[in-house]
Order: sequence, then C-alpha cells, then structure tokens
Amino acid sequence: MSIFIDPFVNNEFMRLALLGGVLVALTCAIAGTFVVLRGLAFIGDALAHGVLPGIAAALLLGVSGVYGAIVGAAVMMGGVSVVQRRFAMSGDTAIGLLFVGMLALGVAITSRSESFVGDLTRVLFGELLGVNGADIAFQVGALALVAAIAFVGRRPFLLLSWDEGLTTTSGFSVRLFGNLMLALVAITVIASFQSVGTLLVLGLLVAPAATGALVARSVGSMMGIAALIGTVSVYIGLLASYHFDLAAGASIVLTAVLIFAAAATIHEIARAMRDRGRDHELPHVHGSVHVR
Amino acid sequence: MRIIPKIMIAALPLLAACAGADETANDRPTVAVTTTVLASIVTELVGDAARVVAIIPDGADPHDFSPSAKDVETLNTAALVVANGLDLEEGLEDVLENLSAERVFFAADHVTTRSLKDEDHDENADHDEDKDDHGHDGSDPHIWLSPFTVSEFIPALSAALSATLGGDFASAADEMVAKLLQLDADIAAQVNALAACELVTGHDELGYFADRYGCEVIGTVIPSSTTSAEATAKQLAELKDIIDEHDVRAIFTGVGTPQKVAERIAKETGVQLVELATHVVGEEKNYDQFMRSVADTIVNALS
Repeated sequence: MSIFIDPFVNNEFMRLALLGGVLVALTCAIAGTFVVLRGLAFIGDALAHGVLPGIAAALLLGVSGVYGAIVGAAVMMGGVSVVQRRFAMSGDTAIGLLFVGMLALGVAITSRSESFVGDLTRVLFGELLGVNGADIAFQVGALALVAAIAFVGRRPFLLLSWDEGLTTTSGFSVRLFGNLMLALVAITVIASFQSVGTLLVLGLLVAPAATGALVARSVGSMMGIAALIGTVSVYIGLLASYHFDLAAGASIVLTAVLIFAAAATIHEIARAMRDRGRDHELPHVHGSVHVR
Repeated sequence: MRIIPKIMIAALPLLAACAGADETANDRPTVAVTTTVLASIVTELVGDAARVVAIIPDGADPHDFSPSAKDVETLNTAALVVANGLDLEEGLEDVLENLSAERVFFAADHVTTRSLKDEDHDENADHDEDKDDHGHDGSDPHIWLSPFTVSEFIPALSAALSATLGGDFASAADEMVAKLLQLDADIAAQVNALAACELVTGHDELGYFADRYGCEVIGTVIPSSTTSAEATAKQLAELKDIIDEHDVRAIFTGVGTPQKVAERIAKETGVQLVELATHVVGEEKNYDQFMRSVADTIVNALS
C-alpha cells in the first residue's frame, strides 16, 4: 500500500498539493453543479481566459495577480451582460466576443512588456506542486464564500437551472441571481489560478459535476458525488504525476474526465441490460423507454 | 505613433532632434540580433560600422517569444541577422527560415555543441542521443554561457559581418577572442577555487558553463532545456533526493523558472534560492560584465 501513501508522507509539497487540490475540487463541486445544470460551461471557459489580461497587468504593476483576476472577471461579466442586453446578441455571441477580446489583450500585454516576469503558462496551468500556506488560506476563504453564496441562493439557483419564468413567478430576480451564479463561477476560477491554473480548473468544474448528473437523483447528491469524484481525481492525478512522471494539473483533470467516461460507459451498459431485460418481458414497449 | 497633435507641436524641436539622430542611424546598415546577450557581443565587434538591434527584449524568455510585425520587418530588412540557433528562438524560427541563408548567421553552427544528456546513462538513452544528434533537438542551445564557446564563433561572425557590411573586422575579432579567453581563464580560476561545483538550476541552462569549468548540473526544477515544460511530482521528489544527497548550497533560478515550485523545494530542502540572470545583459550591454556577474553569482553562492 505504500505506493499510495508514501509520496505524501515523504514530501510536504505533495501534501500541500493534495490539500490545495482538494480545496479546489470542493469549490468546483459546488459551483460546477450549477454550471452543469444551467449550462454555463462556455462562460466558465471564457472567464478562465478572461482573467488573463487582469493578471498580466497586475503582475506588471507589481500587485497580486488576484486583484487583476477580479477586475478581469468583472470586466468579462459586465461586458457579456452589456453586449447581450443592449445589443440583443445571443449569450454565445456575447461570451465569444469578450472571450477572444480578453484573451488577445492578455497575450498582447505580455508580448510587449520587456519586464514581464510572470509566465503566461504558469497562469494557465498553475503551479500545483508549488502551493504554499498562503494559497491554502486563500482557497479556504474562497470555498467558504462559494459555499455561503450557494447556500443562500440555492432555491433561485435551482429554479434558474430549470426555468427562468418560474424563477420570476417565485419572486426571485433572474438578473440578480443569474449574475450571482456567474460570480460563483468567477470566484472559483480566480481562487484556482494559483494552483491548478485557470485552464485546467474548467475540467474540475465540469467533469465531476457531469458525472454526478449522470448518476445522482437529487441536486444535493449530485454535489456530493462531484465533491467525491473531484477529491479522488486530485489524489489519483497526484499519484500519477509522482509515479509516471506526468504534469500534475493535467493528470488530475484527465483523471476526472476518464472517471466521467467510465461512469458514462457503465451507465450505458446498465441501461442496455435493463432494456434487454424489458424487451424480453414486454417487447411491445420497445422504443418508448428511450425518451430522455 | 498615436500622439495627440498638440503634443506633437509642442515636441517639434525634440522630434527634429530625434529625426536627426535617426537619419545618422539610417545611414548605417542594421544588424538584427535575436537576443540581447548576443547583441552585446555583436555591438562590441562592429563598433560604429552598423546599428545593432536586439529583437527579443532583455530578460524576456527566448524560448517562447513571438515577434511583432515590426520585429519581422526589422529582421527582413537587416543587412545581417545574427541568431543563436539550436531552437532557442522557437517563435522566430519561421521568420528566420524565410531569410536567405547568406543573410542569417547562426552562432551555434560555428561552435562545439554539447548534447543534452539523459539523466540515466543506460544504453537505450545513449542510442536516443545518437539519433537526436542528427536533429536540432539533441543539442544544448545555451552557448553564450561559456566565453570559450563564444570565442569559437567570433572569427566566423567577423567574416559574415565583412561579407554583408563590407569593412574588415578581423583585428576587432582577434582582440575580442583574446578578451574572451582572458575572461575564460579568470572564470576558470574563480571556479577552481571552489571545493565543489555542483549546480541545481531552473531549467537545464548551465551545461556549457559546467562542462568548461568542471562543474556538474546535478538537477533542474524543470526537466528540460527549454522553459516550456512543466515540473512533475516524480521529478521534484527526485530533485529533493539529489539535493539531500549532495552538498547543494543553492538553487539558481531565472527566466522561466516556476517560482513557487522552486520556493517550495528550497523550503523543504533548506537550500537558498539565488537569482541568476543568465538571459539578461542589463543596462551596461557588455558581455564581459554580464558573464563576470553570472560567474560571481555562482561562485559566491557556492563558496
């Protein structure tokens, strides 16, 4: 069993990476559940890139990248909202515009600055193996904030995920809680850029929650399953990085996506077997059970 | 030049002065050089005979630099382009390839290159090395970190400058080679005074330095000669073991080193982090001073 434990016992950087990774996974499980239910993966991706120019500018000015990321995320969400509402563009178009605009701005800033010390790839892919105590504290704070927002807004968030009209008739503002839900995603992205990086966090945001959606019967259990799968992915990914000499962040996300693939495959096989059983007993209902 | 007209008027005398300076500069041919360290060498060689322009900003990472349209124009119109070669300037490769061969001077073509050795010396690794030697990937591009290696390409560089600019740079080249060999001897004496010279660096960049002065690069934070790779848990754990086994005094960090990973390893092993400017020539733009400061930093950290 030692190959499963020793890497963590012998190396503090492995323990800190595990702790930091699990905190990201838990934050992602909460935010990711709403991302999957409401279909926010694209804006999540856009936020992940949209924070880049902010981080680059902050590093140039010599302030913490976190502040830049917050400004970047705010500009991104504000911009999407303006384009969508004022110019009656589809959400996709608005997000796409802001997405490439911010990404290009980030690359432009870094390419022309002679004194740029921070590295773009470190922002995109993070430095999970270099996580320190301050990062952990920051992530605990982010997790608490995300959990608090999700708890307070759980009813309107769920209504939003099913039907916007129903949200309004229930007395909740679609705009307020829609933006709050985006803030949830933004906080998750910002909190994770120092550990798994802004690009790979999307994997932890979507894959465990998607797996949860596949097997869970309630939103609560979906979130719980997402948290469990995210945590297991961080652990297995770090072990893979240790034993097979692979990049840590990529191994974790790959694990999470592979778990989804495995769950989906088992799900399909189980359904096929169930269907065949039914076919045998009641051949005449064939076809109607496939409606999802 | 997006300047408000009013400011333009106010700055007219200044602009005239600039234009004057530009004119004299334009009289001279331009030599475009990819890195600032190489540019300092070329400047010393050509003196006033040409305008030397460095493309990659000082201190920027040459491994992932991508040029602006202006940079490409400078490269395309320069009388001669001096590049390091061996895939150091990854983002400039396409532009350099499109230039006619006689207008590009690859410094690495004129030196004894060292191959990037695999860490474990099993037979398979040796086979791989042989194969790699035919391509570019197998050779270490950091040739400027040994003055002796630099001295090897100076005669060829002076010939290329004469061919494209006219003029004779042979005596300047002889002088420069003598200076480089003196620098080489000084650094050798400095390093020889050390009890041991075992180096741990950000990426594998000190190979030429180590080979020349009897040092050994025993570990790197990024497992590669480029800065584009990512550290893995396995290789960090191995690095910690190496540091614990050897009497390592410092981890040298620089351009492209993952700072937080390096900090973590330093903390866990109780070794200091020392910033080593191997890609920054600084204000003085003088190779001799640059190399002496690199050597001083290494020797001070290890003694």
